Formats: sequence, C-alpha cells, structure tokens
Amino acid sequence: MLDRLWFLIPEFILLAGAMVCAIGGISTFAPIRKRVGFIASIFLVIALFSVPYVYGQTDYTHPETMLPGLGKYIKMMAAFVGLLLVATSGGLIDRGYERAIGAGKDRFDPLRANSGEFHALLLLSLTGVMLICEARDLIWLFLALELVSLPTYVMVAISRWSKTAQEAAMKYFFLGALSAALMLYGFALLYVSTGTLVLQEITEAFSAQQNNGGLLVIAQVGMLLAIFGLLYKIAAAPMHLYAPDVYQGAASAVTAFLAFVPKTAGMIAIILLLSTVGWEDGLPPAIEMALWVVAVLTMILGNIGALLQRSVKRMLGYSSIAHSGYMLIGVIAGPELGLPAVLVYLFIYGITNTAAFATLASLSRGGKRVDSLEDIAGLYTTSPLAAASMSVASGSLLGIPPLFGFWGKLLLFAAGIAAGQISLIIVAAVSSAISAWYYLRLIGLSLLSNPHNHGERTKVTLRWPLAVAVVGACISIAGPLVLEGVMVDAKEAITLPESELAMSLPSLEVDDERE
Amino acid sequence: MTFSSHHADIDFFSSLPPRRTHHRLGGFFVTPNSQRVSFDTIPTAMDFTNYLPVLLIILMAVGFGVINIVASGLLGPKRSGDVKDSVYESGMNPIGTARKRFNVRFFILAMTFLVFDIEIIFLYPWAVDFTQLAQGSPEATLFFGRILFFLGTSIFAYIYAWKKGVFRWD
Repeated sequence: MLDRLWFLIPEFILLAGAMVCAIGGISTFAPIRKRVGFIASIFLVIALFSVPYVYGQTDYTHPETMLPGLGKYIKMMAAFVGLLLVATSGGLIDRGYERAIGAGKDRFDPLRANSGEFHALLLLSLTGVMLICEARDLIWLFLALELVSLPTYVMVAISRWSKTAQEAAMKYFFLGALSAALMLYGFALLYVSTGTLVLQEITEAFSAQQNNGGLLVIAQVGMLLAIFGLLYKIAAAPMHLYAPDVYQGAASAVTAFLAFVPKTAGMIAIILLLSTVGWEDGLPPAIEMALWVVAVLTMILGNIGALLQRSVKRMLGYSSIAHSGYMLIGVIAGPELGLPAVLVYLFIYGITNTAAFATLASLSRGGKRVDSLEDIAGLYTTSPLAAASMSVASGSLLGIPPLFGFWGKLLLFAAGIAAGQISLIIVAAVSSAISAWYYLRLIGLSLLSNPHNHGERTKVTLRWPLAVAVVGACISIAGPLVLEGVMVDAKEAITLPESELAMSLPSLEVDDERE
Repeated sequence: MTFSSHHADIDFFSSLPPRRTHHRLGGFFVTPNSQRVSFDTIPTAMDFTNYLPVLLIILMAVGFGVINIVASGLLGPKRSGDVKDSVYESGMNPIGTARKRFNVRFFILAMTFLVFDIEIIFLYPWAVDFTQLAQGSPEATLFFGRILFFLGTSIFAYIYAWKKGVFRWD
C-alpha cells in the first residue's frame, strides 16, 4: 500500500495545489488573488520535478498496473503541458472584476471571484490524467476519468461571461454524462464476462477465453461500449459532434485545455483497456474493425468539417477531431511501434495545439475575443510575433517537414505501414492532404493577406498567452532535436511483460489476413 | 479487492478447435461451428438464485403500497365537503403557483448539507470495521489515515464554502 502511495506523490502535490489555489482565490488580499495562476504553476513545477525523483527511487516497487512505465511519461507530459495551459489562461478569469475593484468601483465579493476555482479545477483535472496511469481496476479507471471530465464542465461555464459559454457547458455536460453511462455499461459487461474488475485478472480471463476459441461476444460488446464511451473524451467520429460547438463556446485558453487533457485521458484509457485483450495476435476482429471504421471516419469528417468553417476556433476544433483519428492509427498498429508513436504524438500535439489556441487567446479585436478568419487576416501588421507563432503552430499541426508535428505524423504512419494497414494509411494521407488547405489558409491569412479595412485592428492584449504561443512555436521548431529522447521515453512507457512482447511480432499469417 | 467470488467452474467450449478460423467480422455477429454463447457459459450474472432476496424485497415493497391503498379504500369512511376536498386538509390554503423561483442559496446550502450527510453515512461502516482491526497494527493505521484524508477533504470543502460566503444571507 505504501508502495502504491509513493507513486501517487505527484498527484498529491497537485491536490495540495488545488486546495491552496481554491482558498487563495477568495482571499481578501488582492495580490494573492491575482497571483493564483502563479501559485498553480509553482505546484505544477514541483510535480514535474517530483516525477523523475519518485520513479527513480528503488526502495519502492511499482504496483502491477497494466503498463507500469506509462506513469512516468504521462505525468511529466501532463505537468509540462499543464504549465503551458495555466499560462495560457493567464488574464482570462476575473480580469475586469479585479480591475474594477482596484479602481474602487466595485467591492470584493468572494461569491463573484472565479479565479481560484478555475485554477483549482484545472489542477484537479490534471490530477485525474495522472491517476489514470496508475489504474489497476475498472473502478479506479472510471473515477479517474470522471475526475478529468467533471472539472472541465465547470471550466467551460466560468471561462466566459456569455450565453454561448453556458450553452457549451450544458451541451458538454449532458453528452459527457451520456458517454460516461455508455462506458459504465461497457465496464459492467466486462465484469459480467470475466467476473472481476481488476485489469490484470481480466487479462487472464480473456486469454483463457481466447484459448477456448475467442472472446465471448458479451466481452466484445462490453469492450466496444467502453471504447465508444471513451471516444467522446478523445472527440472521435461518432461521438465528435459536440466538439466544434463546445470548443467555440469556451474561451480559447479553456479550448486548448479541452483539446489536450480529456483527449490524453481518453487515449490512455483506451490503451489500458485494449491491453487487457492482449496484443499477441492482433486485436479481436470486431474491435479492430470498429476502431478502423472510427479512425477513417474521424480523419475524413474532421478534415472535411474543418474546410467549411469561418471560425478559427471551430476550424481548430475539427482539426483536433482529425488528430484523434491519426492517433487511432497508432492504437490499431499495436504496441511495437504504434503505441509509442501515439504517446509521442500526444506530446507534440499538446504543445503545438496549445500554441495555436494561445495565440488566439492573446488577441482581441475592439475589446472582443478573436474568433472568425477575418479577425486574423493581416495579423503580421499589428503583431508579427503572434502571426509567426500562429503560422509555426499550424504548420506543425499540418506536418510540414522540419517542424515537430511532421515527425509525430511520420512515426504514426510508419507504425501503420509496419502493421500492414495500407488502406488506413492511404486514407490518412489523403485526409492529411485535405487538411493542408485550411492550415495553409491560417498561415496565409496571418502572414500574407492584408487586414480588413472596416472595423478595428486585431491586437495583442494579453501577454501570458502570447508568451506560451512563442514558447510553443519555439518547441515546434527545435523539438526535432529532442525527438529521439522523447521516443526512447515513450518506448519505455509501453513496456509489456516479455512474453507478450515476443508474441507481438507480426507473423506472416496475420499479414495475409490483412491484405 | 477482487469481486471474483462467483466463478463457476465451467469448462467453456472444451470440444472446440483451439484457433478461431472464421472471417474477421464473423466473431461479432455469428458464432462459428458449435460455439454458442448460451446463458450457462456466462459465469456470474445468470445465477439468479442470488437475486431472490432482491425479488422478495421488490414484492414486499409493491405489496405494501398496493395493500395500503386498497385497504384504506375498502375500510375507510368516505365523507366529502369543501374542507375535506382541499389540497391540504389541515394546512393553510395554497397561495399562488407552485412553480416559483427559489433563491439559489437554498441549493448551495443543500449541497453543503449533502457533503456532511454522505460523510456521516460513510463513517458508520468505517467505525464498525475499525473496531475489528488490531489496535496499532499497520492496517489500522492505514485505515485511520484514509478516514483522516476523507474527513480532511470535507473539512476543506466546508472552510471553502464558508469563506466563499455560502452561509451569508444578505
């Protein structure tokens, strides 16, 4: 038990941080209230540096989770990108209210101050992501997933004082509840078919079933339902319809959060669940087929949907759907190359996507938040820095060769080809080519086109998001230098028990079947 | 913590060939050869004897309601009048519509109440279990630590709500 608690130290640090932020946010002392984001970042930095220390200790043995190495990678990634996300939301919450209090026009009322809650919820959601890696049974997995989701509903609602944000929050909440119900039903069926909730024991029961002529139908249905519930979290095809509305309704900083944190959580949960089926001779045909269809639909619908948008946030929302599709290729490709590629891609995607949304978060036009394509036309005239980071971020999301995003996509596609999924890769390549149109449009609008004459110019009004955008763009450019290190870490994160790894090598028979 | 108490020792599909040879999609919709998923191959859920007490309780609950309504209809005296037919016979007369808006503070207060309600409910089984552990053993310490953590979170929630001004009525 103590061993188990030892590896939860990063989570406890973030929990403590959430408590300090919540109390600090309603302090009557204004300087503390205004620096809640700073407090949250301090705790994230402590958590980030605690991870290598915690996992480097040899006195404690890691409890037998499905993928014991996963925690280190995911926790460091969550803490690092979380740091960027906290900075992105700098100046978002309570800015006008604090200014009014400072000017003596308003009186401080704790009920109306949201900054502390916002940062506390942000830290709690990141805690949930970290907890998922340590999941040993389905109940823990479900609770951790809910810990990721529940704070995000509130964050959407309090991110902006507008009806669209409220509507987005309601939509997100109800559909999220539906997906959680689907997932729970799937878990229940998994319990019915194996008689246990512990992931390791489920694995044993499944391998016993497979030796006896294949998984039980009820187990396959349960697995499919659980995965479909999780598809909501990663915004993949049949469950993606909420994404554009919610992403548009929330403030840009929260959108950056939504596009990374729940997606990471869902991806890890899918990987953990599929690990119970075992990767030896491929996934069961029904599950693989379903994932294949979902991946294809997600890539095509995401990219074509993005083509039709006039709003940058909706466009990036659809693009994030498409990126989930790319990541599913890695899941289908299996543990040898595919899963490390997914982890690397999550990291790259998290940084570049945050950079893109952070650029939007830093801008405003005539006192309003930037949303339409028109608003970013000719951005280079007022802020070359914002225009440059926007261009680098969207170039990296598209996958222009020297940038970080290219290498992530390369790894995923290579894994897909190695697994013999040629048709899937063709779809991915074509839809990736389609995506060039709208990513290049973002680059062209911000760097080349002239600003619209009517109305006010778009200006940078918030410094912290711009700093994040610049940092994200720099990482997108310089990232390939550290790519090898990230790949090694991701490879270590997906360490299966040796017997499974030996059997996971693609055999001739499997290849024949796939042709 | 396992839930695997009801493993029925049934040898699934022992007469089947070891490898599946059917088509990819086949496993989902059609089970090949003699592989049938019948109720007795699913270990736990179909053992209905475990559900007999639940069924009894449901029957008792429904029966209690039905018997009471029928009995009072059959046995009770029936007198009517203006006062007898009003909504609340011995209360005040209803004024206005029932769909009035309540102050949102009621809900916040109710939720704060729920936090402690659930905490108390949770403390009972904890206290019963705690007496069974040996005093001062590592398990007891751990058990105690857990409940302290749990209480700590609720106390934190209470302090937060207080500071937030939930209990202020102005």
